[in-house]
Amino acid sequence: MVESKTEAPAAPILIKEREEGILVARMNRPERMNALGGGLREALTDAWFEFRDDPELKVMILTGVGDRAFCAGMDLRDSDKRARELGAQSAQALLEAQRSARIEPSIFSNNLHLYKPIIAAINGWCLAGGCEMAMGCDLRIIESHARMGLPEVKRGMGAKSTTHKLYYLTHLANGLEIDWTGDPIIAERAVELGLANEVAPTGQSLARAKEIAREICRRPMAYVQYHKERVFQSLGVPLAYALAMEQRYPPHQSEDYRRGLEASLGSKLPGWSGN
Amino acid sequence: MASLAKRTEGNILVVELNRADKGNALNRALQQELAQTWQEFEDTDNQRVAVLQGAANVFSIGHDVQELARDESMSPVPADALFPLAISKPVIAAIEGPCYGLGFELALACDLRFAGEGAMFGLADPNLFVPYRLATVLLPRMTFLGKSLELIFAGRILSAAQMREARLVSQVTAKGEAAAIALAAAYDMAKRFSSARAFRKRNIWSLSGMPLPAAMSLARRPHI
Repeated sequence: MVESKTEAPAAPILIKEREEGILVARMNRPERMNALGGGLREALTDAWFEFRDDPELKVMILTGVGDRAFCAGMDLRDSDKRARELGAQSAQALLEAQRSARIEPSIFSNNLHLYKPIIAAINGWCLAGGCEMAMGCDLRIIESHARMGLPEVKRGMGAKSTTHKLYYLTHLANGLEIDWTGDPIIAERAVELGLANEVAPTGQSLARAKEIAREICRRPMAYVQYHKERVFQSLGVPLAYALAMEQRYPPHQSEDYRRGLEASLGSKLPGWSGN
Repeated sequence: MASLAKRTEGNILVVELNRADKGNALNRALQQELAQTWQEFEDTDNQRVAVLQGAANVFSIGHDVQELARDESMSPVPADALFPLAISKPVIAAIEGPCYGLGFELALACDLRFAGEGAMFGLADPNLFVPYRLATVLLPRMTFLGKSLELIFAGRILSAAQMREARLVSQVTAKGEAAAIALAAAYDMAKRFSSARAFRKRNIWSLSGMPLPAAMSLARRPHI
């Protein structure tokens, strides 16, 4: 194992850039196909909390450095080491570790309770845990050379989100096909199946994701988040109940409601108050 | 001037949004007329299928923003009356030109959508902070979750062909032909009219979102 040199001003494992209300996080471990190891997982979790807790940040974009990989999933070299470490612990400690890993909200938990939009710019291989992370985002832009896939089945491993989020994104039969074959899916097909929103040329997914993020930033954030909340809370709920919940309007007399109306009438952009 | 024009052709009720000078914007009066029309349609036995269209090659630009701005005390027409979801007979939307905002939601609430080339769809106006009435609930049940969020977050405008790809319209027709094709489809459906259709439509909606095992056992019953 090559030890990282702390004294050199090496690029961080997760490169973060802020542009207006947008947080761009680029996974920077190209030599390991941006696999989740060597501290990348922890850095992603930190970035997710930073995004969640900073009211200035409205949209997050997740992508990888280079054009080879978005993220190849868990770094098996790392997890093998972790398994050996855990193996030395008691069964009770193992259970505790699993339990705490499961409930911790993070970018790996499908963003179900974070209503700020996250966009994945899929710049290359997007596999296993990397694919799950992308599926946990709200929108996905995939480059024409990139592939998505859940190869876990071929290794006799399980993939957590594949048993639920996958089936919200795509249709039942397609989901089973993806899950059972484990074969990589080309960009065009990913769009056809609902796994990705659109294809961008090689090298262009981040630029396209930024365009969309800027478009989202033009909208009042309360409104964007309210609607994601409505979508997610009505998934898998009987229709009649979901529609009844939908009719609970947020306050119509809010400051932003009035500003929006005035701006629509004058066809100019309003400044949002956040109220 | 009535803002809703109605005519019958055989067993078909043709409903036309008729505020062409306002882009067929759905002001409160028009919403109320629509709600009443759906109820009358439901109660009139020899009307079997309805076609909803807009005058002057515009479906609807959505809310009447001028009216909303004038009237602070907006009390919206209840969704279950405005949208024909609970109507037991088929309602077909024939869409030309802009179909935005509340107009888009109205089209989504119909059972089938036929769109003329050049029709444009979306929840659009990035300025408006008017909450959706049913898009956040219906869209993810009708198309991909990712596509739904794209329409909802980013205000994406979709062409008729893109709507077809997203499986949100049944057929794209030549420009200006959507109403004629929808009417032909309505005749076809009216011919197959039977008392079972009410049961089937209600079955689809009431079982949507039910846990699968519960839905399967309820679906076997003749009535729910």
